[in-house]
Order: sequence, then C-alpha cells, then structure tokens
Amino acid sequence: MGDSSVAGALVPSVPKPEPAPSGDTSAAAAATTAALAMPEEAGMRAASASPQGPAEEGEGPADRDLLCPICMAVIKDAFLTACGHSFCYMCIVTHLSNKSDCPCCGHYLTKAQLYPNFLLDKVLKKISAQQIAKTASPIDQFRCALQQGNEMGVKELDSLMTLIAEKKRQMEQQESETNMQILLVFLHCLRKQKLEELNEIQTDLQYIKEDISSVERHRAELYRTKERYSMKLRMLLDEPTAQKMWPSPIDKASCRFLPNSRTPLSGSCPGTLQNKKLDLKAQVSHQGFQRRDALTSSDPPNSPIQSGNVIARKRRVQAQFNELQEYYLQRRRTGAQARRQEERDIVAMNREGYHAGLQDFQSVLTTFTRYSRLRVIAELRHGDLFHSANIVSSIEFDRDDELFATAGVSKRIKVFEFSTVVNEPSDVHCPVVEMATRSKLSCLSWNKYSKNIIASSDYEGIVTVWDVQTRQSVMEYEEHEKRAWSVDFSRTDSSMLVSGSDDCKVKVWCTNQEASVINIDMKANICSVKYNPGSSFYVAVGSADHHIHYFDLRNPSSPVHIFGGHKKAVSYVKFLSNNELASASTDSTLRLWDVKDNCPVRTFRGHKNEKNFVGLSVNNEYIACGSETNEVFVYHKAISKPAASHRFVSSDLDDADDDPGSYFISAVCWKSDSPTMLTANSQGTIKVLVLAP
Amino acid sequence: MQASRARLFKEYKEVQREKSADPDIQLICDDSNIFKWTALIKGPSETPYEGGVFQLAFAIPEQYPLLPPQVRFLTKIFHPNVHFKTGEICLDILKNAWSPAWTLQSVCRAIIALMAHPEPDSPLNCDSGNLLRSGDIRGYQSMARMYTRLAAMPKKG
Repeated sequence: MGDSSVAGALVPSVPKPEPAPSGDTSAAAAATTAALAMPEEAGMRAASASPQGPAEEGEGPADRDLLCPICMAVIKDAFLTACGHSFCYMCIVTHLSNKSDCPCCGHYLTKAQLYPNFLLDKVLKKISAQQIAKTASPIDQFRCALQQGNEMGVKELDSLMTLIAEKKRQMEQQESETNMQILLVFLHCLRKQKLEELNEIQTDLQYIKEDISSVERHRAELYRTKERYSMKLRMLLDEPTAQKMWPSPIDKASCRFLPNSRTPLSGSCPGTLQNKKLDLKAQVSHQGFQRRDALTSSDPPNSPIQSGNVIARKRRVQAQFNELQEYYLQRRRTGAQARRQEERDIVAMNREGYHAGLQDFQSVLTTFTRYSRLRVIAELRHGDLFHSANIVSSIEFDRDDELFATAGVSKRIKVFEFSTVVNEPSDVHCPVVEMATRSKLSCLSWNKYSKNIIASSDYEGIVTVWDVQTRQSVMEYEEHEKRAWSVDFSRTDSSMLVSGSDDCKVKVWCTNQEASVINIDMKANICSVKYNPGSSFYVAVGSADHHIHYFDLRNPSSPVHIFGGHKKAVSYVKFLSNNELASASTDSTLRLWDVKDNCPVRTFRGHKNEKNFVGLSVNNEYIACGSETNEVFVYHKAISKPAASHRFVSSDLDDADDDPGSYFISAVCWKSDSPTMLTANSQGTIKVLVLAP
Repeated sequence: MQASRARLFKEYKEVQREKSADPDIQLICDDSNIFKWTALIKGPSETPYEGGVFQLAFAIPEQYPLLPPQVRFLTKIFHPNVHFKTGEICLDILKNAWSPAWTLQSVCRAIIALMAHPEPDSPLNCDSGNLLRSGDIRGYQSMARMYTRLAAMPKKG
C-alpha cells in the first residue's frame, strides 16, 4: 500500500522539469546516469538526505512527536524503552552511561531494557519522504523520480533529453551574445579614445613639421646672404652697447657678455636639432663651418669658445628637454599672445614663415639656455662683528642701481655704493650711509622718483620714511598695532606708499600727511604688499590665509580678485610686468599669475622654504628666491624647474657655536634688466652673483 | 561538543520561531558563543514579583544536554531559594533531577514556577526562609515587593 501510494504521488510531476534552467538540467542528467549505473548508491544518498527535511520545516506540534527529546532531531534508529518512550539509539545509550533513568518520565532504565522499534523506523522514513515530496522544488521532484527508477519509456526519456539540450543551447547562446556585446562596447570606447590621442599627436607633428620647414628656409636664406648676415651680426654687436642692455662696472664681465648677445639667432639651432632627430652630425658640421666663415674676418681665436658654448647649450637643452617640450607644445597650440618690443626687434628678420608660438618659444629657449649657473663677483661681510643676530631682512637697489640698502635685525640701515663693492678688493666695505633705527627692520623700499628717499617697516609696526642724504627720518607712520612685514613705494605716484602688518591691516600713506589715506581691514596677517608698476591704484597683498588679494584702491572694500593655490602663507608678491605677478610661499613653491586674465600661469618647485622669509626678486625673464638650504635659486619664468643655483658656504669665523645647517638665504634683489643680483643670508653675508653660462 | 552544539542550534531556531508564543520569557544567545545565553523573565502575576523583569545568566557545559546548564539571577531578588548575593538558584531540575528532555525554555518556565511557589525548607536566603517558616507571609511579601520595585522595575524619571 505504501509503495503504491508513493509511486502515485510522483507520476503527475514528470512534465514539470520542462522549464528548468540548463545548469540544473545538466546536473539532473548526470544524476540520471549515476542512478542508472549504481541504483543502490543513489538509494542510499536519498535515504541519508531525507531525515533533515522535517526538522528543517517543523510544521505544527504534530512534528515534535517525531523528534528525539535529547537531540531534537528526527529519531534515527528508533529504540523503545521499557516505559514506552522512543529515542535515537545513540542518544539514549549516551544518556544511560551517565544516569539510569528515562529522560522523559524518570523511570528506572538500563541498557538491557532497550528494544529496537523497526515499525517506527519505517514510518519515519516514509513521513520524511512525504515531507520532501510536499515541499521540494520541481527539480528535486524530477531528480527523485529519476533516482527512484520510475517506469519511463525510452521515447519519453529521449523527448525529455531533447528538451533539456535545446534549453541548454538557448541559454548558452544568450550568455555568449551578452558577453560579445560587452566586449564590443569596450572595443568601441577604446578605439574612440585612441583616435583622439592619434589626432592630438598628428596635430603636434604638423606643428613641428611646419616649424622645421620655417627654420630650414631661414637657415638657407642665411647661407645665401652670408654678407648681409655679417653686416646684421655687426649691427647686433652695436645694439646692446647702445641700449645698455648689460651695463656692468666690470670690464671683463662686459667682454664676456658680448659674445652671448651675438648668439640669440643660433639659440634656435639647439631647439631645431632636438626637434629633428636625423642628420644631427651633419648639421653640427654645417653649423660649425658656417660660423667659422662668418667669424673669420672679425676674430678667429673666438671659434673654440663659440663651439664650446654651443655644446654647453645643447647639454642644457637635453637636461630640461621634457620641460621645454611641454612649454613648446603649449605655446604652439595656443599661439603666443604677447611679445615685447625687444623681442620683436630681434626676431624681425625671422618673421617670414614663423608662427607666433614658435617665435615665443625661440626667445624662451634662447634665454633659458644662455645661463646655467651663478658666479660670485663680490662678497661683502657685515662689519658688525659684535652683533650675534645679523639676519638681513631686506636688500634693495635704488632707482638708478647705483646704491643699494640693507636692513634687518641689526637695527641699522646701511647704504652701499654698488660699484665700490664690486670693484674694490677690500675685505670690509664701509657703507656710504648708515642710520640707526629703534627697532628691527623687516622691509625696505626706495622711492622711485626722489633718489635720496627710502622707506622702512619695522617690528614695532612703524613705517618710516628716511632721507639718505641728511640721515634723518622725514616721516613716521605709527598706526599699525603690530609688526609691519612689508612696505612699498608706488612707481607711478612717488608720494604714495603701502604697508602690510600682522594686525591684519593694509594701509596706504602719503608722504604729505601723517594719517593713513586708506585703511583695508582683512581677516589674516599681511606678509607682503606690492604696487603694480603700471598703476598707482592696483596693489597686490600676500596674506597668511594662503591667498593673494588684488585690490583697486579706488574701491578698497573688496579685492578685484583673490588668487588661490598656495598651501601656506604667501610671504612675497612681486610684479614682473604690469600683468605678471610672482608670489612666494612657505609651501616651497613660487607661482606666476596673470593679473589681467586673473588666472594662474605656472608653479615653480625646487627650492625649500617652510617657515622663513627667504627673499623673492624678479626681472623681465628670471625669478630669484632664497632657500632654507642656504642656497639661492633662479628660475626662468617659463620653466618650472630651477635654471641655476648657488650655495652659500658657511664660514666658521664666529659661528663655532651655531649649527651650520640652520642658515638660510634671507634676501635677494635683481639689478634692473641685468643678470646681476644681490643676495644675503641669515649670517649677514652679502654676495653679488651674476648668471653665467 | 558536536552534539551539544547541534542541540543548541536547534534550540536557538526553536526560540526564534516561538518568540511570540511565550511572552513571559525572552531568551537571548550570545553573538560569539553559543554556550552563553541570557534570559529576561517576567515576575508571575499574583506574586510579590509581579511587574518586575528579572535577568538570568546561563552557562552551558560541553556535555549538555546530558548535564544541566548553570543558571543564576543577575537581578537582585528576595526569594528563599535564590542566594541574595550570588543569584544562585536551588532547583532540583538544575541538579540531580535534570533530564536531557529539558530545554532552556522549559528551565525558564520552571524558574517562573519557583517564584510563584517558594520552598522555604531548603533556603539559600535565610531571612526569606525564616519569614515563611514562621508564618509571616505578609512580612515576606512586603520585603519581596520592595526589592522587586528597587531592582526589577524600570526606574522613572
């Protein structure tokens, strides 16, 4: 009866496997094979799986009667006690090894009074099978039907297997199509990206090709008109002298500079050689031959110098090739927008066929490769041997670059004559003028019109205007409540000066009145202030809030623009031109800004500056700054890495107790439109440095 | 070890399924140790423990269910069969009368029954036992109610 009822329950579920997924269908097929091959093993597997079913489901109190009171699972190997309770054999035997009672009623019980209950075993197996049949998924039912060896014809099996195989094929095809689709999308994106890169590279190559053609035509023209080239070269020789491009008191230095001025045209050759990889040696020979011919009539002994110079410049180009390449492509893509009058004059003969970007790059390349190091031409040691604190906070040239003034923690303003310092070999130079101050000084600024007027800012917040000739203070402004860090005379209005202080105020003064003309309240300490050289209304303010605030003094309530990008206090701001602003910060970077378009131009890295005022000075092409490594660094304004550097060597004369590594450069100042500059460090040593090849 | 763990897992599933069946008992298994349980039981009605919620701690041995679990009150209770300081419970099914057929749930029910029917003849709390043996029912109930209010009821404000 039981067997027949089980068979009856399974027969109607045979058609259900039809919608089964292919994965499980494959498993079912494998199970079929296993069942057919080893029916006993299949039967055992089914039996071992079944007891867990009812325990998992547990429906209603009726099922609890099927559970062993000790292990709470379906009874396995049911054994009956003398008092009539049923347990798993293993559970009751384990219990009786501890105690001699029935767990349910406590009646006395021993192992000898246990009896197998075969009927209960069979009933439990049947009930488990029924539970599985009731709750199993169609797949499980199908698998049980196959395992049970249900009466099924060969034709029916073939039909089922055909359905299963078709289902499997469809699902595999679907998955394959999906994978192909994903791969196709990826490949399309990749091709699009690579095409964009290819277009960009092709455009760059086109630029380079055009420039190579232009330079080639230019060189051919030069070769054809050798005589005219010689004449123009002679004109170039006269031009710097006439314009005083390189005024210098040292005759030797002047002689050394002149050959450099003759080579701006050849400056493009290294770039060309870099852009054109082939025929490098041939071009070198050709260039040498041409140069030798050109110079034969004037000065034959200079040929070796020129040759060495060209080699050195090529080495410099190679060393900074990546930087130059980046700058070249940048200028070429956007096109040069501004050219100075001097550049136009020099490049006039090359205008034919030249792109503006190429002209701009050529001038940068020429200037950049001209110098590679800083040479000391004079050294000035402070005469105050008795002062332990000799930091020079500020060093400035006057209007005509004839005098320079120094000031710092020594509470003295000293004015020296530049030519005397450079020309005379005495060990201790005497200042032309020396004025004692009440407090330590932080900044100096010469008046741009009156030659004898200089302003200073000090640690007590007092801004003082001095007359160098009478050695007296002309005016003292005492409104700042804390240390004043910076002061600057306007270039266009010589009676106006601006100062910044730790009291978070920027004040504008007039030499004709004692009270401040304009007061700007800001939220952070002011580290530096600077007038725009082309206007008496615009002032740049470097602040401890990491920003540069650019003010129009006609509306001082809010800045025209705020330049952000530095990560620490802005210690210096200087103008290279009316539109170019350089800033220094204790985040060890310099930044160049365009104050007309209000955008950042470039960031310069290489020096170290984390806490001190190390000095910042700019001229038309170069930016100089100090470093906390006791070195002076010079950057070309178009290249982010240093072009030259010089290390101050610490002397042990009076500093045996100090740590040599703690010295830093504290002030720098360019001589106007010249490669010469003044530098000073925290020991009080002052050096005159000049850019050299 | 394996048998006790399997048994405890089944009890855990039973507890999860029967959460709403027995509102007076709340069994909680430790997250990282299935041999550590706590329970919250309500004081039975018409007793001085009515209105109180008492916390029990279970330490289950490795031979469970062949050996009984160790149970004690974490909440202070004035009861003749519960040690006032340690919370130890004197209950026969937790000692020699233990049977593997008992479960943690049924142990909680037995403890609730013990609270309703104290046995002063085997006291762990002498003061409480003496009150009952001397027939001072009112005194015993008054003390029990006071401690229930102090220790087993959520404090107001």
